[in-house]
Amino acid sequence: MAIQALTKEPFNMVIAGVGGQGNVLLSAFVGNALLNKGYMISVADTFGVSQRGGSVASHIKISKDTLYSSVTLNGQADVLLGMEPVETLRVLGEFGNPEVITIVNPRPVYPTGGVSYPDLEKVKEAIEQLSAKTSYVNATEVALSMGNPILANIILLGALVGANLLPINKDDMMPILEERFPGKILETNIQAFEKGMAMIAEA
Amino acid sequence: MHKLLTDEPGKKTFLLGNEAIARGAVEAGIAFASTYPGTPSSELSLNFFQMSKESDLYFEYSTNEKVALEVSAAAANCGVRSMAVMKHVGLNVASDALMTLAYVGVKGGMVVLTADDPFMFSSQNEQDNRYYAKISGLPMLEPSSVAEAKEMVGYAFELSEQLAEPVLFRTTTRINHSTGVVQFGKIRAPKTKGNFTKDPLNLVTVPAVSRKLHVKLLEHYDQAMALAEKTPYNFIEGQGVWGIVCNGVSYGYVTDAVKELNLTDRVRILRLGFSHPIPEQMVKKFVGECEKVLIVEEGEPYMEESIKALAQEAGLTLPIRGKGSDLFTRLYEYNPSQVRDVISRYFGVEDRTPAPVDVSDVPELPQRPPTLCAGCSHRATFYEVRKATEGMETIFPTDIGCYTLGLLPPLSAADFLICMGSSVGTAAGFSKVTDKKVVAFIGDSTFFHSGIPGLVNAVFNNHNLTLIILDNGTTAMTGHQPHPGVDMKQLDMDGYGQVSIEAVVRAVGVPHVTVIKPYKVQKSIEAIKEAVNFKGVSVVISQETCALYARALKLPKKKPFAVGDKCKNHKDCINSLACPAFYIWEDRVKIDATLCTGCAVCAQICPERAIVPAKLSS
Repeated sequence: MAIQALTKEPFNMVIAGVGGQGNVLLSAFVGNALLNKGYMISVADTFGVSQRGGSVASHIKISKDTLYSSVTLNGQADVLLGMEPVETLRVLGEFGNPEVITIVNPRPVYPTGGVSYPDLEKVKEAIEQLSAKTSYVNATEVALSMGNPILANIILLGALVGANLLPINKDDMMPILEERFPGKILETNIQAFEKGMAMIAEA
Repeated sequence: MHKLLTDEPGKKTFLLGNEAIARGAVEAGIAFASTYPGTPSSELSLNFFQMSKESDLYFEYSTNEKVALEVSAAAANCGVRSMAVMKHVGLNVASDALMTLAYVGVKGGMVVLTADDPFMFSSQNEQDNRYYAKISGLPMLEPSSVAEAKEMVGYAFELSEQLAEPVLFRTTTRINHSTGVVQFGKIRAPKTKGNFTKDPLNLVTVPAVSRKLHVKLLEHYDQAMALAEKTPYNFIEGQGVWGIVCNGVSYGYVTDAVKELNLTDRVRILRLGFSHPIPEQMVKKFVGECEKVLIVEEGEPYMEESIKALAQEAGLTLPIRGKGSDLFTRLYEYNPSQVRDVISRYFGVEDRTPAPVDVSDVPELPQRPPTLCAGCSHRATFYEVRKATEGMETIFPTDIGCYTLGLLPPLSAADFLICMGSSVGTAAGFSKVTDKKVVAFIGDSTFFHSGIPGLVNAVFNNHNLTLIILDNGTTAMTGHQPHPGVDMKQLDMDGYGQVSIEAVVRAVGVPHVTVIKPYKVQKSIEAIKEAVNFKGVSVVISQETCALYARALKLPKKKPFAVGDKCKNHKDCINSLACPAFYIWEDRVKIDATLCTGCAVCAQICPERAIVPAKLSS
């Protein structure tokens, strides 16, 4: 059962990742579900093919009744959904605070051009240190086991909804998944979503 | 049905800024739209493109912004509501047409959308296009939010018809690429056919006519200012003797900051949404009621200069500030924290911003510049050009597109860039004054946009240069829009012509022309060697469908590759190609099968032939 109301006004969520991982899609899913529940939402995404492979972030500001500007104030993220560990840590440095709750996919996306990736364990340690609570969701691994790495973002969406941090639950998400994934792919995406919910329950 | 064509007034929906603007145009009865794609405006025209397939809207991807503006200007001169869409630098290309269109004016409403890009998320500069309003004398509107953008488009069409002038509609990336809640209004039925009335003494801009038309433009300017004094898009809110003047997205940051700093009863805000001509009386009255004024505007001190001049006229001597080393910068986009910080310091109130989190223990994070995709054919071509010119002193002028990303090592295939089409023009200059081999790169869409004149110039003036045309079959960077070289039947669209790049290049008289398939590494290197050794103008057309576009078109997929047992860890593959599908694991090169597109370029350059098709289980 999801929470019934926002715990803060406005409530700020940031989605961090690497271009191409689907941050824009995730923010649209969450935004639409919240809109259907009557919330006011503004979202600022980093966009575009030009950002492919670059650092990207989506800011989602949620309010009971007020339309705010779309970019989060430094240090005021309430929830951080990290699609990649280093990008999660990058956003924590700018928008984190001692109360932030972090859900993170621990699978690295390696930078190109011989740029070295820091020690993953140290990155995870730093994420944990900077978050009030950190949950790991092995979304890429599970997506691969389901046969398609692209499902990782739907698994993360399931984890986010399952974490009961936003006033939306599975029933609120279903119409949105149905609209977005017509026909056969719907079933797989619902499975991925449910896996994400189950994983966060155990995380 | 396209979601923006839904005829359900009152329906609330969640739209991207660009979608909201497109919807606003539909509600205003837009019948004609044209563009050259450019981020951050790209999704706006993409929605027009989609809607044109299932409605009476005429839409075209024009060859460049100047053509797009001309096409729409003619429609508007026949009484048809039209819109020309472009990014900020696109308006530079279209400005020749715009300046004199302002003299001629329009009959039906015409909106010229300029999408500015403060911070240069995907642009070569962050010029402030508000100055185009000043230089052209045309009215300018600037929305502050996604919802307002939709409403304001409708107003822009009305304003245009009222003044008989095109209206400049300026957005910034944070409007185009933000998403917000929008309420649908009624859709006005579009008038798709127009009527042209001959009137050469008002429509043909010979000097005698233009002298009259300039007088008329100035009259329209005065009328526009009178409207800017009364429009609901220019408003004052709050009370107090501290004043803030703001525009665009800054308005949202200002209202958030004023709330958070508990200044609602001490600060009054003047928001200018109809920003040119500036409403002089309104500004003078506002400033006259303040003791201290702060101007919050991204970019140049555009409002600040006008407001200071108006205060001087009104004999006001209060402090009016905006840009300055201690206040706001002319650089980049603003953010809520920065705006709150400057407001609190300027007015001397306490900012209770929590201290930033301590990141001293955090490992150093690698930068992640955007990069060419896994399997990108440009990577193959760059590698081949580097191989073909090994040992030569080279200069690589490049152009605007994904391939600009070839500047980073190890490809290092970009030495100079200023604007669309500049590769071949600058190549000519470099080749004349240096003894180096000049190899320029241009994309297929950019070639049509503004590369052809430079190539004609090179042939006429007999320059010594090689132009590599990177033909990936689409306008990739902005999201796969078609261009004149695209076979539109591939997109199930009839009624289009198709222009062959090779035929154009041969027709302008280029003496040495070759076509290569860049995934065939050795053959391509040989062909490029021949081209660069040719004295005079040579062109190499490198043809391979964009890897992402191939996926969108559902072209047959190739199997991914993996590093096999024969690998002796030379790392030639990763060091010379830097494909994002490679990664290093325990000092060995690995290939991420989820990213590999199977282009097989790395397999061809491995000295041990150790890169082989992956076994299915991986």
